[in-house]
Amino acid sequence: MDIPAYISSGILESYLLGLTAPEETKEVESLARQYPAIRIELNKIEDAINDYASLYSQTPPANVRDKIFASVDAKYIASPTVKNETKVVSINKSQSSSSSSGFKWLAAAASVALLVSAGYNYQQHKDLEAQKTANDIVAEDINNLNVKFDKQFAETERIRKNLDVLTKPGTKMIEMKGLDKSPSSLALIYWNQNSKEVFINIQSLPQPPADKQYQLWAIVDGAPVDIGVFDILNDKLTIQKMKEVQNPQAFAVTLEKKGGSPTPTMEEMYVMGKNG
Amino acid sequence: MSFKRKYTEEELVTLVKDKSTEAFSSLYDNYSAALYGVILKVVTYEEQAQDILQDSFVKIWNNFSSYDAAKGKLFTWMLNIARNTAIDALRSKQGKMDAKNQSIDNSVYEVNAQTKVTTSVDHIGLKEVLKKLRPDYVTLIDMAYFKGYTQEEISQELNIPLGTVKTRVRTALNQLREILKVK
Repeated sequence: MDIPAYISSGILESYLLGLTAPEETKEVESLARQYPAIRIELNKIEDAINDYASLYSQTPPANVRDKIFASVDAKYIASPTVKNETKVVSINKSQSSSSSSGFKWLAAAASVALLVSAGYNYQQHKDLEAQKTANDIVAEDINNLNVKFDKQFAETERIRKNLDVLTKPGTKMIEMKGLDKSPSSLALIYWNQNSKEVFINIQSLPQPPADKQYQLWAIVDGAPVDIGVFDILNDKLTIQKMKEVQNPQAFAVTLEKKGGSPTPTMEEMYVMGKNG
Repeated sequence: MSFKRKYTEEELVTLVKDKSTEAFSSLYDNYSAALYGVILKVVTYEEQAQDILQDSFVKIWNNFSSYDAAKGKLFTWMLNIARNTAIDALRSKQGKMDAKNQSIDNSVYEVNAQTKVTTSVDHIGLKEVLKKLRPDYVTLIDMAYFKGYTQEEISQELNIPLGTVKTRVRTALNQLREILKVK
């Protein structure tokens, strides 16, 4: 095994940046165990990457810490330890020698006391266990509700942001209707004549093959202008931001190779709509 | 608290494995800023970054038993959890990442630019490093590390043959190592 060549191939850097394929990752990890030179080199690169990442450090707001500890603490609330303190009943030998009946009485009393105490402790222990289980259930419920709430909140936020776009003064809606290629297709353009921003909302477009992507075009001064490619997200409430455009006469969508084409493929035009 | 003690990394690992919230708190104090910085670099938006930071620390807490010191440093392990959680969030928002697709931000978050991060924090160290590091190396490292690009995507985006991505990565990191050592 040519270790220096392996080190200088760049595979170690790629591994630490997360670029290696699973089999390469396994290889690096197993070679690092066998060859100290590789381990040492890995450590150095690791340090450089960590130092670089640390340069971007920013202190998060304090409420994030509280949230994290609230969710972590809820599950691992410091459980009070059950103290099995048994009352010690001293048995005095000198007493026992002086009076054997006294000793018997004392022994019996001690046994009773011990039993009572043990029973009491056992009950207390059971109560605590039950309390802990109940706490766990409540903590779990709170956690589930938090997750639900966060999801709902994110969804509301997303819809609110979409609504902001649609209700902004100057925004026009342009309906792009299906052409011969796909007559039932429909997509909507929201174009703001002040900010020139363009958003697309897909009502219905067939899912493209894996190597293709839809591309949006604006017709400006009679010529097509690329406004960007987009994916089909299967969510009629989603609007996607595209590139800005000045004075579009019309909008159209064509199916192109992944990443888009410099000019539209006319026979692959799915929907089109005129502005105004 | 003045009596709060400092732990060695080894002690921290043992204590957090035993579910010590105090040790976890120390872990948070030591690493949250670095993790938050990385997450912000990936997703850009503060609100989202804070949610991801929270997710990351909960993951760290829940999966701590799977951390293996023999495989790498604790900091690296934590950074990777934060980074991967952020990259996953980024990808699920954008749909499949396509190299050329980057010029258009499909993210609905783009709509409201108010929440965008203003880098008010003093990053003199960072500025110096970025000044010395070749810009295309910065791009390369950032694409791989912060955006989760694959070798194929890097090759396409930067227009370099797939076979030379690894050596390019090595050269870039060698320069970075040199710069960081000088400091």
